[in-house]
Amino acid sequence: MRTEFDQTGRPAGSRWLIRGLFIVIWPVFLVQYLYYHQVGEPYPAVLLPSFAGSDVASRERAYTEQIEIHVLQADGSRVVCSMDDLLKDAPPAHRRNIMKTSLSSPPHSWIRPPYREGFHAWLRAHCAVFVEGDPVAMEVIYTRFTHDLTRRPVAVIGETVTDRHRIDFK
Amino acid sequence: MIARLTRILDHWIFERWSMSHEQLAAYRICYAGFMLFIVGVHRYAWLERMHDGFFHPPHPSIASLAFSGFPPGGVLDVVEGLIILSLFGILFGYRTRLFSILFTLAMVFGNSFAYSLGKINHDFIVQVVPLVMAFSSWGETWSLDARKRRLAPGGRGVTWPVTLMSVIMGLAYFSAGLPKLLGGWLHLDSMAVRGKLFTLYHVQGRQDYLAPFFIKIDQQWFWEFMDWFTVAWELGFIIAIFNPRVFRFFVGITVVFTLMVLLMLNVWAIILYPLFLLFAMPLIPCHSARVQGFMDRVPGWVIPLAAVIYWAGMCMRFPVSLLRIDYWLTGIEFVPLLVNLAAVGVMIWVISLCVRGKQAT
Repeated sequence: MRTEFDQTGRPAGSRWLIRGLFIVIWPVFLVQYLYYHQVGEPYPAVLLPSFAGSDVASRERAYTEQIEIHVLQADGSRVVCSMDDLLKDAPPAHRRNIMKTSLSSPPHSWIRPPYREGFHAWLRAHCAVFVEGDPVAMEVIYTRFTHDLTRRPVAVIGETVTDRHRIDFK
Repeated sequence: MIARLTRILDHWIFERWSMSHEQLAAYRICYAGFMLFIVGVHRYAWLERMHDGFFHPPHPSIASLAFSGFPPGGVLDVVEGLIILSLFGILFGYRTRLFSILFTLAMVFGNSFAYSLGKINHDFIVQVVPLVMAFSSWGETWSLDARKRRLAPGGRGVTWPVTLMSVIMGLAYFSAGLPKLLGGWLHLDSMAVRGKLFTLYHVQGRQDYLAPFFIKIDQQWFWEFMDWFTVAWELGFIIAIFNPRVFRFFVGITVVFTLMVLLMLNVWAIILYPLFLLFAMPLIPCHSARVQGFMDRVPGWVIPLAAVIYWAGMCMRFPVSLLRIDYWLTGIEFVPLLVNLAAVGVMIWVISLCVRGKQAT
């Protein structure tokens, strides 16, 4: 018995279109997957997060990263604030990625100086909330911590500054 | 030979997933209801306050192809409105195909800007559901559209889109599993899941539910098992797509796994549940004349009115969805746990139906 194709009365010719769709999806997925890993993630895409790039713990060690924002004033003093303070307009889930993408040094950052017109002013206005005077620059410091899993309680046994990204507000 | 291959292909595409019009319609209502009243429609208004200096859209995407910065707030308001209107259209089955396609297009347009700041939420496989299901018969009954043309109850629906969704889901999970396989998750001296737990627990402060219990587990075999299981499960989806029973088994594992991820890592993925439900629907009995009777009494103007009220509620920060009520009342993410537990409950119920022989598997 032939397959009941379409109970809503579509013409039988579209059956080949549907078969074609089921065949084409495989090479399209392959191209998309390779593009993602070679060039960057497209949107939309049939992808789920792999977390394969996450720091992988060993039996003895695990790694974490901290992002600190230092707002610098003309007298040399600095005030530390968090990315949650600076990027309060953005949803919390986006903030870490925004920092990495826009406010870090190459090769991590996606955008490179010179920044767009008005970007310094935007950052300066948002940093000005945290200091009494006039902020002259901001420095974003990325620190990687190494944790010893064999100790109880688990202890930090090392910290390395992996990136210092300074932006002067001219 | 070609005729035989075509028969096998046809059987897989058109017949393996068998659902009635009512089951498809019930799924349509569940999908739209879930997106509107449990997850809630996301606002894009916050993008207005971000400087174009942060604009770095995915390549390629609509945002990268046609824009050099964030669009004006008015444009994003229109997109929000279209998303809400489409969901109510899908819910009530009014011009179902049109609104199903429109929903996915509007979501992709809006999200291509929301994901222009560096973070891409991998929720496209859920947003694409209406676009794919638009070509099923999910609007043929229990809908305003069905007032024009009545189908005989219990008729077999057009289900090749369900097969296509299973392929999309299988490929998506495969895309997550393959980098893990190549990236060292199976090395016996690495503990990737533990590393993730550690980062989330200590850096992001996700210390609710069972996280404090899991963080203390030192047994290497447990963490190695978690790594191996995750990789095997994600890669296995690609084989499972050819058999609905095996695929459902994998979806069932996914439901339990997602609960486990919530309890252990405090990472919730309730947005994926409408997708999981699709593959359970063939086992859920759906017979009711009352639903169409109700739809017959719904006037068409209810849809834009409901959309306007919903959108106004969103703008006024009124909790229009369970998830918003959750943030509003408790500040603790309680709804994801309830949804996860409900999903496990549905899964157990479906399994019990199968065991008692009420539904063919």
